[in-house]
Amino acid sequence: MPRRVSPGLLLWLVLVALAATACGVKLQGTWLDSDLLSMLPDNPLPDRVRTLTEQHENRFADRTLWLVPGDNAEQAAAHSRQLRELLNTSDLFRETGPQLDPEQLTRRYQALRAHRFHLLSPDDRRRLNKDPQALVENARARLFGPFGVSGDQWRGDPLFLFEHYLQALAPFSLELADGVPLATDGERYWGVTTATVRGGGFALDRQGRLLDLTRRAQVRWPDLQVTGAPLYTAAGADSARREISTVGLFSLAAVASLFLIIFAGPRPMLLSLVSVATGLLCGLAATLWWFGQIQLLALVFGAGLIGVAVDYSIHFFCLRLDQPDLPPRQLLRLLWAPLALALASSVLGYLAMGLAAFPGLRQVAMFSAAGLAGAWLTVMLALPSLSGPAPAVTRQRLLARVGVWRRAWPAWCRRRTLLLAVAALLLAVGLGRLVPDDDVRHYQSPPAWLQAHGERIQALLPRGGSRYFVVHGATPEQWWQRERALSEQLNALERRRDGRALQGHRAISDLWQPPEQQSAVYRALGERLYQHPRFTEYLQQLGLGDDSLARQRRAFDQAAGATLPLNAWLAAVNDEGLSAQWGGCDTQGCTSLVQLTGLSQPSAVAALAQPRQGRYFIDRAGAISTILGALREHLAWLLLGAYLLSGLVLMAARGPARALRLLGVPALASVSTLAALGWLQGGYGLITVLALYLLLGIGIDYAIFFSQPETRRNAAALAVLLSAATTSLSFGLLSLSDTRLVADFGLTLLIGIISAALIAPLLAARPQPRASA
Amino acid sequence: MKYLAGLLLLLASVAPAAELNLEQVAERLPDAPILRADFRQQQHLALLPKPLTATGDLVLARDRGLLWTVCTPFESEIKLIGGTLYSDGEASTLPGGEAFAQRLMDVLSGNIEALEPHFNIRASEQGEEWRLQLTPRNDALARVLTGIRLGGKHGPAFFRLDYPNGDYSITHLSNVEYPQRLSDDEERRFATPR
Repeated sequence: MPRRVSPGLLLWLVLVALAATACGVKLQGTWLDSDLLSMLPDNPLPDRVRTLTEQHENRFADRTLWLVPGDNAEQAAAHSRQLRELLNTSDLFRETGPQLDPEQLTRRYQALRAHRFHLLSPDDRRRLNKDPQALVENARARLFGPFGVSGDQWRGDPLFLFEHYLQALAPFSLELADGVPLATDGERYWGVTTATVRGGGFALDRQGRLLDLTRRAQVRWPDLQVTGAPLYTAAGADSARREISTVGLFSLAAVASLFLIIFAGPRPMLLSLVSVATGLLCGLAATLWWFGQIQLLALVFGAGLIGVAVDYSIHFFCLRLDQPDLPPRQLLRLLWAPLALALASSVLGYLAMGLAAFPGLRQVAMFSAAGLAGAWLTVMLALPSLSGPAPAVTRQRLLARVGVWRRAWPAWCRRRTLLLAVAALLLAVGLGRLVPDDDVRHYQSPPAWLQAHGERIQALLPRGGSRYFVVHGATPEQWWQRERALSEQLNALERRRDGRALQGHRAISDLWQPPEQQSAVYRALGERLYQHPRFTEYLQQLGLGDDSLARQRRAFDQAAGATLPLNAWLAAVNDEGLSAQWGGCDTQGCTSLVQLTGLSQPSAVAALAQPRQGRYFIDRAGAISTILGALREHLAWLLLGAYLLSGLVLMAARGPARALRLLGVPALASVSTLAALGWLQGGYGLITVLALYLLLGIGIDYAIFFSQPETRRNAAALAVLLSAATTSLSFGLLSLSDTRLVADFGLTLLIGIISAALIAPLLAARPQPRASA
Repeated sequence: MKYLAGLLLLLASVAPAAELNLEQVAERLPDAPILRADFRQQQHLALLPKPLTATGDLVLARDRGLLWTVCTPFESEIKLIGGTLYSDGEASTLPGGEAFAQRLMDVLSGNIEALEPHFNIRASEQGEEWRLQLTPRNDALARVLTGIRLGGKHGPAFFRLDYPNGDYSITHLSNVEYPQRLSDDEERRFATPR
């Protein structure tokens, strides 16, 4: 062992120190971005529409919803109070509530009462125009209905039109107990609590605490139901992180045991770990410095990079096993060319991904390039000084056995043409079965309990979904007309006989009309009802005389001109949901949001979108799926580009014919993998294509090493098998993940690596090269 | 839920009221899935010279809803199905929402257990009949309804709604039946709300 520290080792130490400092500085605060959406480019909507969309989504993005049961209203309210106390003491939430005012409906009644002859429910407006007599008959049925009526109410609202209007404003008013809103399933009451998490960026350490808090609350109230975007994010990040660390640990354990057994000592294992860790550290540091944050997906991909990064040190140690007499520096002189070629072709391939228009992919490219370079530099700079004395055990028998396999396997395949033909047929059919699957909902796989809670809450407390319309008009009039037209078309979809496309919708223009239309309603009410003989007749049937009629008409006349502008109306109605649907007016025009409930045929509803008419259908999940599809396609083309770039590097080093053979290893392995996926699950997505990128790097490594001079091939074969064994062990575990994204990634790589290891001796090893690599 | 065979009753009774507890009333209520009866509803409104009187018949089916058919003075039908009110083929939400409809059905069927969370209930006995006096616990409800009274020999035979201004309506049930199943016609009317 050298006494003096070698310059290479010194350089490596400086590199590690730099990367570690960089990570140390950047790892404070919110460094992991678990929002899949931040991978994607910004939304291409007009400013006003986007603002309202973002406002709407932000209202829900940070909000959690909790339902605690009680046998009666008081108990449910008391439990809710206790829950809110528990939530408040956690310091995780900015706001808990709601504390509703039982007088709210009374105040709304009083604020709108003076305008009752100008505001009608959409149904009553329709009936007033088409069949005013029906309104009188409806009033009579109501009067003689099971509910009865008090004289006070009747005097102010003899035709029950105001009653209808107030009902249209509050279609499902929840009961209140002690200011806590209550939902009921007929048997029990459920106190409703909303809690908004602190801060827009939901930091990782708080995600864990949110889950802990949820578990504590569930211990206290076993039937507690909870939902909300922050929980989904937390649960997703939690399971991905847990799995990655489990898999990471298992992967380390697998690599460690194999190394310990084969190399009969801890040093090769420890040094390989050092090389991989340096690689990951460099990748993380480079990504964090360049982008400020790292995307969860980039991290998953980065964890997979272990599979490529470990190869460099494996090759070093396998060659040393084969040629124990050579000093480390001379070994590296032999390995330098193939290792450099492997690095250059892989890095260039990954950099092709950096051309992508998607920020998340640029992160992946940066992480991979820097990570591989770090691992490679470790082998080149640090290993010679640190690798210690020559191995005592040389494993000649193992090497010989591997040598027999690598020679016998191609020969065995050549003799079985029928088998190869069947395999080719299976491949072709498998590829034919493969269809793209980009639905983002398939990739978000929340834990079963959270999904069950979400469904239960939706049944107890129907809420608007993540799909809605935003309507924009250049003037207030145009906005109103456009929203109105949309609402009419939605009505038609709701009433369709052959299955409703949606259950209902909520639009401001249904409940509020511009002052001119309010005046028109007032005039029509006068002409068709209050001043009309049918109204006189109605009163007479009740036994009322002329003085009563005069009093009714006087009240009606006095209300003339009592129209209500939109802002005053919103204030009078004082409904949080409706106010949030109004985006307001500015120099560019007015914007509003139309909520949809019970969407059963999304495509029929989406077809109503007309961006040119200021009518936008917002479907975040749908839009994301579309973008993921575009991303996958984009990435597939870039993958071809990566093959081209790697091919050019290989061609420059080995000539076109050899380059083609070498590149054939990852290419054929990828095709086999896709075919296998076609048989296994039929669908492939963005993550599959990403895995094929890793496979490119791994496949090229395998190929290059099998193409070394015959004397070193046994060592290379052992290295490839060892690498394939360790990496497929760890990726095999990933394929068991609950997170579909991670599972798909693992499965693709598992199949791909095994294929590459089997294909490499067939393609790369022939014909026998004469020159050294 | 319990239903009973009730008899037509007259409201005013001179018999002194004796205290009764809710369990004793609950024991008298019959347990049947369907209640079918004729009704006579009188609304005493101060602003009207004489009470409004309506007669008709009703069908109350557990877990299905209420069919309320008025024969005089006008023919009309109101259906209460799944929390939605259908009046002559038009759907609309209910005054006071689904909760109010549920309360009314609970009153009609004498479902004390379901009424208790919402009302202070006092039970008494007049002659052979039980009486319940319900006072809303909830302020919002108390502003539109000061109280509900109901009574009967077995199941409820009348119910009375009292409003804050002194107006009240009283509905008497007669020819009460507790069939085991709905007639085909009733099934059809429940199945087609509009």
